[in-house]
Amino acid sequence: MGHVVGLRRVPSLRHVVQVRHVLFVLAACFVLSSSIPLLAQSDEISWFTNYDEAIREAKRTGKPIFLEFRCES
Amino acid sequence: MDDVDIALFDYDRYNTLYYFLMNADEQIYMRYGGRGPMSPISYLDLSSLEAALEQGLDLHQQYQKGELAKAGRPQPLFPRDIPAVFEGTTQKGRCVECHLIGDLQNVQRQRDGKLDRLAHMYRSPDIKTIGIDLDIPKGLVIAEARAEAQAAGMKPGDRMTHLNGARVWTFGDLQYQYDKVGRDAKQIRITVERKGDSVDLPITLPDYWWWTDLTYRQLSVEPRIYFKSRPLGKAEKRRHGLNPRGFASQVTAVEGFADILKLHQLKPGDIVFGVDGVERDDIANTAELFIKLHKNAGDTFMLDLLRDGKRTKMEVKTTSVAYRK
Repeated sequence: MGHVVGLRRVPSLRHVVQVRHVLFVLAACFVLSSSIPLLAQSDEISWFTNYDEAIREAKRTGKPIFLEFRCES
Repeated sequence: MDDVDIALFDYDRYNTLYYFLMNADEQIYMRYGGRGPMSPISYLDLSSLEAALEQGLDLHQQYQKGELAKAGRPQPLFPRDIPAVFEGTTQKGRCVECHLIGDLQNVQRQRDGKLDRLAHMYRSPDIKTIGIDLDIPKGLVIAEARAEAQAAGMKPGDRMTHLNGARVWTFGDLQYQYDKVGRDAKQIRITVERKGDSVDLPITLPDYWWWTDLTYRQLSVEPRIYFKSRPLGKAEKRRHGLNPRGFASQVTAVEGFADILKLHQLKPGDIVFGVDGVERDDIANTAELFIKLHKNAGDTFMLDLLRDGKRTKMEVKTTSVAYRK
C-alpha cells in the first residue's frame, strides 16, 4: 500500500488532473480499502466507483477515463 | 470484478496496481503498471505516470479528431463465464478478486488440458534478463543496455516505441506485449527512437528468457516443492558419472515448509539427476524446473539423487498454494 500513499502525497498528479481535466474513474477491483475515499477527499479528485456511470460521464463531458484496478497482494 | 470484462481489461492479475487510460467508447489508449519480480512497485513512478497521462491526453485529442484508428474489441469474457472462477468465488459467496481470477483461470486451463506452463505460469518475463535497464522516471528510456540488448545495438538514451510492431507508450504496455511473445521465440524486434530517428533492433532471446521467479505468485497449478537448485555444468555431470545432457542439478536451499509439510528430506548439496526415472528434458535444465513443468500440484514421485557421493532414491510430495482459499 506504500505506493498508494505516495500517490496521495505528490502534487504533480493532482496538477495534471486539475489542469487537464482528466476524468478519473475508480473501478472496484475487489477491496475498496479506506485509503481510496481518503485519496478522493484529500486530493479533491472525483473518483467514480460505478463503471457505467463513469462511461456516461465521459460521454457527456468528452473526457478520457483513467481506470484503476487495485489489489492487495 | 464479477462484472468486469476481463478480456478487454486483460492484464497479469498479479499486479497490485494497474491503470488503463481509455475513452467512453472503451478504446484503450495505454496501460500503466507492470511489476518487477522483486517488488510490485519496481516500475511505478509519478514522473512516468504524469508523462503517460500527458501522452494519453494527446491520444484522446487525436481520437476525438478522428486521427486515431479505432481498435478492435475482444470477445467479452466475464469471470462468471469461467467455471473454475465461478466455483471458487461467486458460488461460495466470495469476492471475485484479481489474484483469484489469475489463479483459477489456470485451474480451468489445466482442467481443459490447455495450460501452457511456460506462458501461463511464467508470466511477465523480466526485461532485465535480456539486458534492458530502464530510466524508470522517464518511462521507456534506456538507462543501460547490457547482454543481448547491447549486442543488438540498444544504447542508453534510446526510447522504446514498439515491440514486434506493437506501439508501446509505457512500461505497462511493454510488459503486456512482451508477455505475449511465444515462449519458443528466438528473437524479438524492438524499435527505438534515437535522435529523432526510428531504429529497429532485432534482439536475440537467450535460453530461459521467459523464466520468472514464481515466489510471489500463488498459483494453484504450480507444484510447490520448496527447494532451490542450480544446474550442473557438463564437466560436473561427467565427474559424477551423470548424463551430460541431463537436468542434473544441485540443491542449494531447502525451505522449512518442506519439513513442516513432510514433502521431502532433501538437503543442500544433494544432486538430483532423475525424476521418476527421467533424466533429461527439452526445456528443463534443473530437476526443480522439470517438476514445475511436468508434475501437477499434489503429485508424489521418486527422485534419483546423489547424496555424499552415493546414489539413492527419495519420495517427494508436492503441494499447491492458492490465494486466500
